[in-house]
Amino acid sequence: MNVTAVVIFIIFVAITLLITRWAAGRAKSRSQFYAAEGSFTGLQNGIAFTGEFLSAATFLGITGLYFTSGYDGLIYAIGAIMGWPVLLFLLSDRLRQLGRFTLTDVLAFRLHHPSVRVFSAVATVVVLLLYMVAQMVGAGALVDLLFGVDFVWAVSVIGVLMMIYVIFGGMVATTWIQIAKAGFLILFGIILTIGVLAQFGFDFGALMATAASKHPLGTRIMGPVSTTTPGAAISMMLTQAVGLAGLPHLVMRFFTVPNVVEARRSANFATAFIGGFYILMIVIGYGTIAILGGHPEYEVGPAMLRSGNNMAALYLAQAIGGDVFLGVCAAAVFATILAVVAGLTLAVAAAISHDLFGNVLRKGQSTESQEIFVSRVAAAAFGVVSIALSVVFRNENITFLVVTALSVAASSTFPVLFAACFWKPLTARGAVTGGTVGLILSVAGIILGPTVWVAVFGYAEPVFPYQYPTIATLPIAIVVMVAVSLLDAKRSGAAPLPVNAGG
Amino acid sequence: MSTPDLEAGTPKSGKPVDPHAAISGISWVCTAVTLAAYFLLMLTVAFAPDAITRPIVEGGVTSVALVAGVAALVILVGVSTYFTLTQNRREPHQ
Repeated sequence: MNVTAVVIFIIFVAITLLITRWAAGRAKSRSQFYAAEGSFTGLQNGIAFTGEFLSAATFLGITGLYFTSGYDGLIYAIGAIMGWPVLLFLLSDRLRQLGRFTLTDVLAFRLHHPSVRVFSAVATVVVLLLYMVAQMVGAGALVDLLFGVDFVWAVSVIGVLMMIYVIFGGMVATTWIQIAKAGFLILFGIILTIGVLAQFGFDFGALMATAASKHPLGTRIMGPVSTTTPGAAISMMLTQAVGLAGLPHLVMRFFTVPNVVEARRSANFATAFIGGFYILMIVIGYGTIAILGGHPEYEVGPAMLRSGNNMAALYLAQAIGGDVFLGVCAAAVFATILAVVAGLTLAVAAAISHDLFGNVLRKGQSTESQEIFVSRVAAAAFGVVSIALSVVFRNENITFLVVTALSVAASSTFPVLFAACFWKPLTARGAVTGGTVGLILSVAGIILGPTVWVAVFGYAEPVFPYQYPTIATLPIAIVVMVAVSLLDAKRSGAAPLPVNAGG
Repeated sequence: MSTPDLEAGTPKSGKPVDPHAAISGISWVCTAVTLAAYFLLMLTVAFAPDAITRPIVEGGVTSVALVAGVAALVILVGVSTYFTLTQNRREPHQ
């Protein structure tokens, strides 16, 4: 057992629980619970955005990808951040103006039918469940590595902590925990980068040459390795370019600032922090190959680490700074996981309590305390389900799992959200039909693809060839949405929807 | 499908909002620039991976792909900062 890791982890958990206790007094009303009453500044929310985005999948998964095949790690990193242009340049103003607490509120502003809320809430739960499983798999593997604790117990402890944060602290606690964690992770990333470069006399070329000499693929790791089929690359490109804008927990962050100006600033700060972190990760990623490659203590086969390649960042920390550094790294990752799962759980709880219970089941007649109570029950239920699913997917690369969630978002919530903001003829029936088709087909494509059909079910060949089905499911969802909306308009005499004046 | 949603049409600000108001040209331009950088990189990855795997200097190992990747990140951060500063100066009281 790594005592340093345990001590730092306990200190972090204690701090987060104190934040939650403080925040509990500020999470009484719906507005406070779901959106912190729009009280955060652009910088604060930008750091929280960064925390939301730099998940365990980013740090552990992308570092693991670098170790496995070099440049592929950078492709995933670039793809992940390239969803920001759509979010910042096209949607941030509209989201901040139209939204209240959830992604569904934005859709409901345009499309006045309960089925829209039902679709959006269900899509939110599915997308975030996939995203959540990735975080839990990372958490379980980490605890297993450090403490020898059984995977199920590990994810259960993480699950209970996240439920406490959300149930008692709401958005205020979740945001402050994200801010603390993002600061911790960025600081650690800088220290680790300096540590890696120091091993090579601060000569980047020497680092890369050593990495190429130690990896079984040689200099091929300086270019794309596993995404070279055009279909797979285009599908991933589409997934990452638009999937981010369909992630409900990111959309919710725009409601925690007071105005559009701060919304833009927060997204800009996030882009800068995340972009900078990804540049650091080039050094960290290739550093894992150069330092861990051929190391008998860590490498058990060609480009294969003991306990799996997801642990590459942790082993690198240990190789550079011993158990103390490993402990700090583990604590940073723990903090990351705890903070991100809290944000995801809050978004799901809001979708179930505010959208399904408050607006669909109770038709807007529920009290604030009833809604918050349902939200807390939903958070607990979501925690239990995600723990169960994380056990099933425990051996998957966590970055693949995260991009899987993006694929579903890109095919379901994104096209509907985008059309609701920019396409006048969209009808509620068109949105729900197109979004539902995209949701079902993307989930089916993932199940029939290599990630589940081969890796989980054990079949030799996948039915669907690509890991991410967006290349097929996004166009289908758009075509169905447009066709149904135009048919609706034709049937009703092409009367356009009235522009909603709000208030 | 005509049942009204009780909370629809009530933005958080309480101010009138036109969900179809045109967004500024700079938004589209910034989106196009950053996505073009990304799509160019990904399409090269898809159709001509060998072209970007070669080293930037003879005898070295650091590849064109790596430099292109960093450039894509820098372009995104630069354009994002330009967009935010420009828009917030143009519409400071939203």
